[in-house]
Amino acid sequence: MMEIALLLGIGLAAGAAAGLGVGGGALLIPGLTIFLGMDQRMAQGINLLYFIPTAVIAVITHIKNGKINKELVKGLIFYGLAGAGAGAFLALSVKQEALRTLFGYFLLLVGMYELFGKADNKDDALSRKEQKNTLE
Amino acid sequence: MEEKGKKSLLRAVIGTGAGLLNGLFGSGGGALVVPASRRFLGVNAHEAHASAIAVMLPMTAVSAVFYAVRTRPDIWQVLIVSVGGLAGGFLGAKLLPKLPPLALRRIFGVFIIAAAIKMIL
Repeated sequence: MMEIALLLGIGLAAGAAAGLGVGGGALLIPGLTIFLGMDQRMAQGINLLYFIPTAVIAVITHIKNGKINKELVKGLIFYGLAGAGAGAFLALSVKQEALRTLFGYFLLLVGMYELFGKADNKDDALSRKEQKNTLE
Repeated sequence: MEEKGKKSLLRAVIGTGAGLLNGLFGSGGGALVVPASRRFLGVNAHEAHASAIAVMLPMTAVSAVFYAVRTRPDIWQVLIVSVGGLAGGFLGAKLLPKLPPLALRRIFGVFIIAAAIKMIL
């Protein structure tokens, strides 16, 4: 029961944060490892799965609205897929304690950026509007 | 011609970087694609956000298959977290526009740094 409440709460916080332009993963992954004692790889894998349904809805909406830059997507996708396979293979090959520490340093950079980064109000407004369009 | 070559090289670097980052950490690819496409490829903010999700979706699916095969996640845990996430998305869209964005970012920053320190130590 406690576990269900924690899972729901962590998902909720991450989903709300995604609208801020702060990636949901920055909350979801540490939430799962710290509060549920989950293995680092497991938490990262769950974050990937968690992203998929929301992204499917978002992509369909963006295609309908003609917002997607096809040239950009085509230019990135091949390299992106190769990187995605290699990155996952790497993550699953190293010790999970090492992965957790490495992720911690990455998270530290993200946190510093949020804490000290410049305000970009136009972007915030934009991403919120998009979030709204996606969800409504 | 040279300009075109430079652009393809930049795309290769951004694509590979985003894929590696997202695969290695299970997150963060979009955080690279959006600013990098805006700054280096001259894509506007709207298109950069929309296109980043379109690029991240297949990349995430590929990485997720690797992770799922290896870690065998509990489907119920994934479902419950996702239900929370969808609810959070709706809540955020309703609530966040009423709150000061910069203050929110700073507060999240503090939480994220605290989590990072806990994970490093």
